[in-house]
Amino acid sequence: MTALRHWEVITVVEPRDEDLVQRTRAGDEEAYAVLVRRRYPRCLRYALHMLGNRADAEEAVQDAFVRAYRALDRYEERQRFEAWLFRILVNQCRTLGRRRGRRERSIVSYEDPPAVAAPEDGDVHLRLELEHALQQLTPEYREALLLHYVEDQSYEDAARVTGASVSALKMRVMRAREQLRHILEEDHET
Amino acid sequence: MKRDPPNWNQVVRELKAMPPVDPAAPERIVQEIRGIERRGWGATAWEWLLRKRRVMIAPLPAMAGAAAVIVVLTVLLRGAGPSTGEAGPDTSSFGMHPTQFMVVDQEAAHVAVVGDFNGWDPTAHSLEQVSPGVWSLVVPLEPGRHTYAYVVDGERWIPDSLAARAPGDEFGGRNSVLLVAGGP
Repeated sequence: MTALRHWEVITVVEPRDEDLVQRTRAGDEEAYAVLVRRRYPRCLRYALHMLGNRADAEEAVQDAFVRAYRALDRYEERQRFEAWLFRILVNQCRTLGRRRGRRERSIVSYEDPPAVAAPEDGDVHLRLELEHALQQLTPEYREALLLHYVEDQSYEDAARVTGASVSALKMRVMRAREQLRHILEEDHET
Repeated sequence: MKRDPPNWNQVVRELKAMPPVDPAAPERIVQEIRGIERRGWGATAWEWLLRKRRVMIAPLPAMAGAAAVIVVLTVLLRGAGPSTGEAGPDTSSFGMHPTQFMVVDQEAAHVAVVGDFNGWDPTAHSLEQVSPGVWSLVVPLEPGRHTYAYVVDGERWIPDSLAARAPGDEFGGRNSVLLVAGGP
């Protein structure tokens, strides 16, 4: 007699960010921890590209999460939590970038260790070139390019996050892409 | 060996690669958050008093207030009686007067001042966040009458609620007026 095998399908439904916010507001201390662990890598990626330095990037992300936590009462659920968080993060990166920029105007050079450590299967040389090129863009161009192409934000969302008008943001994205392409081509010619 | 420059798809793919995360870093945030949480969420009277609010400060009253504070401090620090010392630095030596714009807005991510002095360009004069929620910028202005407004987060044009309104301007009277003293 053949034993019947009984399969049970379990669907694990991850709570939405907005639900976690609601639970946090209700006093569930673990809910915000889940949000932090979930959103940390994307925030770190943005901050690393913006600031070109891991210590600064980690500081900016930490400050952003703490500020967001303190401001949770003002978060409105009609916005996506991640977009709201990014708005705070963009601001933190600007503040930190300005503060550091006044002290030391450093451009990541080929000799510096890469700000974004390369995964083993990645193209290390290309990543270094890119970091070098990114840091040559103005912060306004860099943030517009990253929000649109890397964080996949629409022009409208990215405009809200940066405080620029939609038309200004489109122009920044276009020029940032053009300048990045030009810098990379120059690097290859020399 | 000479390599070709990367194409755009390669660029985006590399930029999108997730960086390695130090597992201790998010946990540090969680620990910090727990420290905040232990202080409680209750809406006590003290919290009500400390609650952040949007307050607009007009440049002229702000400058007058700052000047009054400086005078009081000077008198207190130097003893009684008006100072007969040397005149202060001449800030108008080039015909321009440093004028402070100040906005208190806890929710803003970016604040700029626009006016006839910068061609109403929101990218020309961004205020700096000098402390949490307090935005400030000193702009050298020529003596005379200037109209201006603040641009919050790049999309909301707001007048200075404590300053006089400019009548019948092209933005529907939503601008403020500033008078800079001096000149011939």
